[in-house]
Amino acid sequence: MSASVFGRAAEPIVIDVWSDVVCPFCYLGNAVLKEAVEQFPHGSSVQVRYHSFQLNPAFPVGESVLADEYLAKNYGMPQAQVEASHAQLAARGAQAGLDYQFEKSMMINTLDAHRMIHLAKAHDQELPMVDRLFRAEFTDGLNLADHGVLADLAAELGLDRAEALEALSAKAYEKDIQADIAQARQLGISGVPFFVFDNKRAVSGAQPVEMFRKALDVTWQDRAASPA
Amino acid sequence: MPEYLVGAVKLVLAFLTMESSNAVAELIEPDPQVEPVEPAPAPLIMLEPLEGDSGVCAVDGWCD
Repeated sequence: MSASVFGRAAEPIVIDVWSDVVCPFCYLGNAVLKEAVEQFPHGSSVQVRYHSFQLNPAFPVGESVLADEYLAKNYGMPQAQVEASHAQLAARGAQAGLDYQFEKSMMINTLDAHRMIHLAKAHDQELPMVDRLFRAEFTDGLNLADHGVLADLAAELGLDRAEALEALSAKAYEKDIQADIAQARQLGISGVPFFVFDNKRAVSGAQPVEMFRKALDVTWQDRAASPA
Repeated sequence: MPEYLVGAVKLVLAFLTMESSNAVAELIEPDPQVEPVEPAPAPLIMLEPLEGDSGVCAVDGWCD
């Protein structure tokens, strides 16, 4: 029996994803990637790891404003253009089973939301937390700058609410978050979502499912071609 | 032993002790000017997008 059966090929394909909670394309990319992994014949051999990225780190911590108001104020984007852009993305989201409610989405500083992802990771709940935060932001219109809201979401996933509040007040996981952001910088990532397959191949943006399938197939072929 | 020899031996011993202490210090003291160099990661191979939007939100918050 070849060594690769128990060696390299037996290890999962690792997909490292950089994303931010207030990034609508990240919500879509997360859903499409999930679909691609489900379609992939070796889907059980895939591990997805999320990394923190901040689109708007200068936004005041603890404050919140409707995302549409923020867009209009900061980019001078006409309301009609905002609505057209939202409608297009909402249609793509609906195909992926997502229910975008852009009129309720809030712009916040996402540092505390990222703390919750790192806390959940420590309890093997990373991906459910990522899903829940996206849904809270883009469907439920919850204020993710509010510690009470974040702690409630943690409790919803079976995490300890008091531990979540303590992590928020102690500004826990700061080093992990900054390390993720520094790694993104080192890789030259200037926008999200960004997907890295086995530390070798990359996909930028919420691409169609075929693109992620291709990335998975090629990564699998890379493994077959490389020595164990 | 004559007193001048005792003095000379003490002097030599003091010199040797001082030399060895410095040598140890030189070995263990890190140079603050030199930072450890991390190997640069291999460049990623980008898969070209199929069509349509970039599907990316940029660092300034703009999504396209």
